[in-house]
Amino acid sequence: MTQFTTGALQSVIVTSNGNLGGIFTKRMASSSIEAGIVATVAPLSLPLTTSDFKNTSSIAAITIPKSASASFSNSYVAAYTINTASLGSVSMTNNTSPGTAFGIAAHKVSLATLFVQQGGNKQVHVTNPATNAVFDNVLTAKGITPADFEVARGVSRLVVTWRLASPRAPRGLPLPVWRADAGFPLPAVRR
Amino acid sequence: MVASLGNVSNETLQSAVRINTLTLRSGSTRAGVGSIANSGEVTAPQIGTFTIAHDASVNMQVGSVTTMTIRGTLSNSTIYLTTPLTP
Repeated sequence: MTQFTTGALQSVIVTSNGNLGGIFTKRMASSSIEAGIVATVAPLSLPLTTSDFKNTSSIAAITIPKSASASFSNSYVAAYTINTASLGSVSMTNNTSPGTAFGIAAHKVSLATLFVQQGGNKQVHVTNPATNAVFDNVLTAKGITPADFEVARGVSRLVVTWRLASPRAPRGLPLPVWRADAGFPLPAVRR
Repeated sequence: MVASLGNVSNETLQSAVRINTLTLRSGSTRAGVGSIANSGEVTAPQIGTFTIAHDASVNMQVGSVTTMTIRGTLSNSTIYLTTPLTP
């Protein structure tokens, strides 16, 4: 989907096997937008591990303007890559089920911007937070108490598994399997 | 195919071919509402432009949608885009 525009999203589940482009809505409540997430992850929840991503789908941008009341609440946005997430005024607490995490989960969130009403209307701006703990540190530095809303959530690097064929591999033995957590350089292979 | 509909309620729209433009406008029975109600479904391999003039509640399963615009509130809906990521 190249462009998805709504006045508001209320109890909506958007599931895509591929990329999503620009998403614009004035309010998002009790909804989820997911791209490339495996079916075992319930729609109104966040992916927790690398195996919850079935491909490298991306969300180009989600834009929600800030408002007097919460414009983003009890909602979930997930993809392998989220380029820009501008969520407007965010309710930090899950009003539907307090204590349950909601927010954004991705391998990489390039840029996330939100406003929080705690002791004033505070703007939070984070660039590619490695984990949710990093995001929480940004909140704390702003005098905001972290709660159920999360960004990144420590969903780390996609595990890539592949086989390397070796011309010297003895016949009948399985080929070596290398695992790399998207880390390079690859292990040296003697030929 | 181009389809322009008024108020739609509890209807199913199934298309075996791509829908270039699907437009729902406000109806007379519910002023200001152009909707496919909860049990209504849209199924098509592709939709180019899908526009709903006002509030909507729609369940749809399509290969892909290029542009989707709901000018009102989209509620109690499920949108499933099935086309897989291509390298």
